[in-house]
Amino acid sequence: MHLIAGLQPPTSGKILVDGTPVNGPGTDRILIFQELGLFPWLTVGGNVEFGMKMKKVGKAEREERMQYHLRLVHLSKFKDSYIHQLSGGMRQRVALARALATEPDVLLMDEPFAALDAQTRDLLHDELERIWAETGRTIIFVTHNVREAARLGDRVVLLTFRPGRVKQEFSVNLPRPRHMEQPDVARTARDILDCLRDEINKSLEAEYADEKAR
Amino acid sequence: MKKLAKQVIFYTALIGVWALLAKLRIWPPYLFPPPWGVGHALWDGFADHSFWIGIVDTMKRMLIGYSLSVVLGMILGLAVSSNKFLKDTLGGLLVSLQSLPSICWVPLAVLWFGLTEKAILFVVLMGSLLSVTIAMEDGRRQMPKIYGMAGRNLGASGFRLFWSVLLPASLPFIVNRMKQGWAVAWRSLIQAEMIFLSLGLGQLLMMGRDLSDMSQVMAVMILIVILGYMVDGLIFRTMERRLQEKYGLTPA
Repeated sequence: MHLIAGLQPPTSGKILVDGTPVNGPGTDRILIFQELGLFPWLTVGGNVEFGMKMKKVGKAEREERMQYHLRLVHLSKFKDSYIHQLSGGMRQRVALARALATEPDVLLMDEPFAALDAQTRDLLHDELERIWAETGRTIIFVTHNVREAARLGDRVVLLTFRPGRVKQEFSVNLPRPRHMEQPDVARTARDILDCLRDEINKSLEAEYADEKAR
Repeated sequence: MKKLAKQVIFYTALIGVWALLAKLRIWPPYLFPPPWGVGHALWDGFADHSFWIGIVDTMKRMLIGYSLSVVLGMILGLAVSSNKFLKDTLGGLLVSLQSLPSICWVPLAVLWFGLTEKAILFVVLMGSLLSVTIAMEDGRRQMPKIYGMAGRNLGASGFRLFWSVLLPASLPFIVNRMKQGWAVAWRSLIQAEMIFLSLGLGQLLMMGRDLSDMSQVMAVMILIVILGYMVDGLIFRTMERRLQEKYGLTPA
């Protein structure tokens, strides 16, 4: 994710986005960090406007786009709140709005919902699916939750345990909107999980080896 | 409110014990003046304007010396924190110089500048400059890395990244260390004033000694404590609390 976002240079090889090599960060690719990295000294509105401010978008347009994206994540009422006054799920949505407001071509999400309770996560899945349909952005979403991958993805790319290489790719052609508890989502998740089993075993063995060595 | 009541009781008791000891005349009054003697000295000092002049002079020096050290310290701190070479060389020197009590700069200042205003400011500057420099450096180091990454990710770079992200992100840490810098500067200034003919509070204190006027000595000491507390306890702590509230950092 950091490589695609241009926050770190690759040790070898190249990253191409629409055929153009990545060098350095750019607002065409916005990463939502696992820890979010929302700015506590800015209000919710200020956070959402931040990327546009850096791009020198005019005040009127900035304001309008900020309002639009806050509506998109159902946080209009919290425009003037500070980050610490929000719940975990709301913070996630601010981060989403902040990322979307810069109108990136690619949205990178690094295990964004890992720390949330199941109900909030389900809700945010629905919202993410709706926003994705409304805005039509490419989203790359990293997760350890196979069911989540099957629930959200069109393509699920399975990475191997260290070093992380592509093990297999699955196309998920289930109709939308989907839901976590749907039988066909569960079935897809099981197929992916079967393929993942080897990697899980490898990672467990590596961990136990570490323990024994100690 | 409860806290205030406790404090009122405590200070009343303290002054009461003091008054009692003075009344018992265990020590002669010129060595151990009663509270009313010190109160009288305070009144006289303000009545003949010498305390006002002392306070104004001291605060003026404080403002000039501290502002200078904040500006220079910020520049120096930024330089040290953003350059590996400077950090490994100058950074170490600054930390070791901090072990030097600021009064130790007095002989050097006197030889360089004579018994002048400049010399006093130099002593204050050397004392607090180091704290502020280290404060800036520390503030930037303590700041969570995520903010810098998030800022770059959203298209900030160069000066805008510093101004809109790195500076506000490290502000709570910086203000905390600035407070410490102020405390160091305050101590340095009073110490320096005690040695120079300066009209400041430090000199008033020494004047009390020269006249063997214990009441004045204690009156000036009380003034120094009150002024120091007002700035440190009221201004800086309020600023810190406001920042912590806004940033959602609960005070430990």
